[in-house]
Amino acid sequence: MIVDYHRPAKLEDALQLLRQTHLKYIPLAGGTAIDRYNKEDIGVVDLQDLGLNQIHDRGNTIEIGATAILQMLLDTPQLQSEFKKAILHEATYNLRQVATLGGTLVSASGRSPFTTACLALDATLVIAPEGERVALGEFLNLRNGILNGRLITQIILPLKVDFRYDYVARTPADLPIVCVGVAQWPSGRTRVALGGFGQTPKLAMDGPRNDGADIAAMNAYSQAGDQWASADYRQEIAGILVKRCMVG
Amino acid sequence: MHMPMKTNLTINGKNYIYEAEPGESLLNALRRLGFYGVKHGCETGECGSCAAKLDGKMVNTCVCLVAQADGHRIDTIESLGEHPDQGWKSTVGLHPLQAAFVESGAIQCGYCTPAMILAASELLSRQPDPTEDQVRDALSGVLCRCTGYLKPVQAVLRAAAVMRGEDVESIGTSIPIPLGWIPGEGEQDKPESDVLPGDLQPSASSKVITPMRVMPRIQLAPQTESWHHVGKPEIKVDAIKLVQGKPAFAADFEKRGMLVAKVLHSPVAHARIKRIDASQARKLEGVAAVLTWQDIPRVVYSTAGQSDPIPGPLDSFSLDHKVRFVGDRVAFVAAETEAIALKALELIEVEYELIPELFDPGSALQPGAVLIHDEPEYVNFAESDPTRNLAAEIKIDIGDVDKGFAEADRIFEGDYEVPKVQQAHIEPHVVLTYWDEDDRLVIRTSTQVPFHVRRQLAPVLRLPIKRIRVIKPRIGGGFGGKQEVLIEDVAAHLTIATGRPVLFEYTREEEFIAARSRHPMRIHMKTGVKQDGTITANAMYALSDTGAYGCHALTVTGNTGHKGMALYVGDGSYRIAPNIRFYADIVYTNHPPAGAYRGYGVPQGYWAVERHMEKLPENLD
Repeated sequence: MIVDYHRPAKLEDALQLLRQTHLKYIPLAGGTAIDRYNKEDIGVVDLQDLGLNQIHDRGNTIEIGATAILQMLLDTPQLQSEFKKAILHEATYNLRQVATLGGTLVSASGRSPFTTACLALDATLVIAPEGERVALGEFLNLRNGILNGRLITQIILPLKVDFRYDYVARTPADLPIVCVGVAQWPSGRTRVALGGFGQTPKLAMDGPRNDGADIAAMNAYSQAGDQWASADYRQEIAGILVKRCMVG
Repeated sequence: MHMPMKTNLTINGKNYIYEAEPGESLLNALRRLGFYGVKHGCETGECGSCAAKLDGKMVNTCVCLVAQADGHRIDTIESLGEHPDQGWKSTVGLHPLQAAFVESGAIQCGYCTPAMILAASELLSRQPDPTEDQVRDALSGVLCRCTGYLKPVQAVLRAAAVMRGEDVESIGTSIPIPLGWIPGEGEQDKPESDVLPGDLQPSASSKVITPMRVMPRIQLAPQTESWHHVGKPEIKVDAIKLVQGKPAFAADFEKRGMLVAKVLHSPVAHARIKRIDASQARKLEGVAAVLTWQDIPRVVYSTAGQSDPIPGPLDSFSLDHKVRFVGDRVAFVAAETEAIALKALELIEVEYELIPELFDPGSALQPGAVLIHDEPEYVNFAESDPTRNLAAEIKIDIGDVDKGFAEADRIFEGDYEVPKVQQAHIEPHVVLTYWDEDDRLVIRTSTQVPFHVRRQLAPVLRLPIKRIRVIKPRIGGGFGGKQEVLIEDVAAHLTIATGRPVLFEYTREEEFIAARSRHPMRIHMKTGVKQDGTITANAMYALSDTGAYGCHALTVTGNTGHKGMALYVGDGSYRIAPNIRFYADIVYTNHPPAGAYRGYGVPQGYWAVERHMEKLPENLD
């Protein structure tokens, strides 16, 4: 239950609140996942006045403020069209108007299309106050530990990368049972990320070439069975989706 | 309790100073301020029925804090249009979107309609000539459980055309017979889009897939020209209030001094309440009443909304000293606010004496199985037998089934399962009760069965039927889930206890743990066939899990066989005298109760029969 609310105008003030110990304070970005905190008493630090929603094109990369909303990314021409497909799959129109990049990554489960896409693209997070740069893959496994009293201010994505996304779900708008993001750099480097299962999306491959990407995906989901689908099914589908992304 | 915060809200151009709890949702604030066009649906941002515009952008207000909206501009459906006829006063009338939703028949239950219209207005403000894809994306944040999106998409495209100043098809005009289309010459088999009149054909350039049709294809005989209604379009009788988001639903109604009710649900699946102490809860400031099984009459009844005599066992109590599923009722609370009521629930001390649980319907009939209903008040109906956990039993034989199997060349057997499914109407169960000026107990409830509510609750409340008045306003979807006297007694008992109006509304979580569902079934099919595929005998056995209570147990499962087993009856002499068997056991378990759900038992049977018949020829030589 939310028992305290603050809307600081400065990043330093926000960080100070997040370091409070008398009550657990969490950052409030868009608020679309706020209903998860209905059991324990918490305070929230609303980030809307911090101006962290700027987008800067740096040529090979794009720097996106952590409170930029998902809809802003759809309206950013530099981003890959298949990346936008993952954003559309992540949230409905209403939720895209408030859900932020940072909030989506922090609250993502393994079924998050957007996080899967960012993982494939090897997104980098910038974390205040030190400005430390952390790879998304590293962050996802240690989310709460890394952020304790700190705040994501920026996400950096590569632009000169070919990116493909595909998925299988019960309906076109449902969250995926399996989704795949495949990023291929001009150098041949290939990253394959899988979503649709577990606590976080999973990196299946990061190699200098794309050989064996489908096999790597199948191996990565060899134990991915739950109430939505068996591991056998997910393995098979993961391999097929990776092949489609390679061909497409 | 926490210190309220003072917030400045600008709603539909007017400023409000609102004192909010830090965690209060914008949805709650808007409704408390009287903006009932925003609806309570899911509490998680999934359904969008609560959507409003925040600085011109669509936002689901159930996942937006009031504090977040402080200083921003909020627009609700109440900012759009007004009734076109207000006597001597001239009005701007409905907004073109509202008019188009009315004219296009884009409203079913109307619960999501205000949010859809707002979403469409946001779209048209930035894109006056949208493609169908853009319309569908704009509406994607609002979940319609009733109709789907065809008619709303048509309505938005129609309104967009009107707002651009283009001509649109008149609502009062019947669609003429298309040129070149002569009935009886085979053209009627073409897909509808192929035989649309030229002016209604979707244009390729506009990327519109959904044609902007208002009327279905109707051919009128000449003499119908003089009829007033037949063959002419009529708008839904309450369409105009629904497109304006007027307070049409059960929760959209306030009474002075109204209390909020909450229910303490059982955390265990099967137990006796050894001790219950509500004294601390009753002492909490703002609590008006706490009721346990010790405080109200012990009257056995059925919650199934069915005609008298109820075709099922009487096995329920408003409150009991035994709980039979996780989510079963333990106590009722009425308080000045929801927060106080929730706090009071935490203060109720309950000591449970656990009883072994029964979750496997296959074990329910076994000798020695734990009994779900051992109360002496239990009233049987037909073959129900609580000493065997049997809520209902069906045994139907048509023809000579054993002889039919003996005459078969091959016998095929198969097992099929249907899981538990929730109705998921967007409007939760909600009820408001109060004493009226004639000392009648008014029950304003979101129900599909108002007359059953009155009749069935009269003995439970110890009131004569004539002193109960049930009002069924618009309901935001039911799908059978509201064919149940599910929560009306909670508010009614609390109004009797306090003398005050009481509002009780389920949360989405309660809809899943403490409402009803489709009956899960295990169905065994056995079919005898001749080598040429002729069916000589067909038998179905359904094991139906009614959960903790036998509401709709017999009648739902009856349909499973009555309808499904009529589909395949053999040929030749076997068609003249078919051999069909339908047996069913409907058993109690410690699962949440099942009940009515659209199709009422038929989908379970159709699935088994059709899948079995599909597999059968694959296995014939």
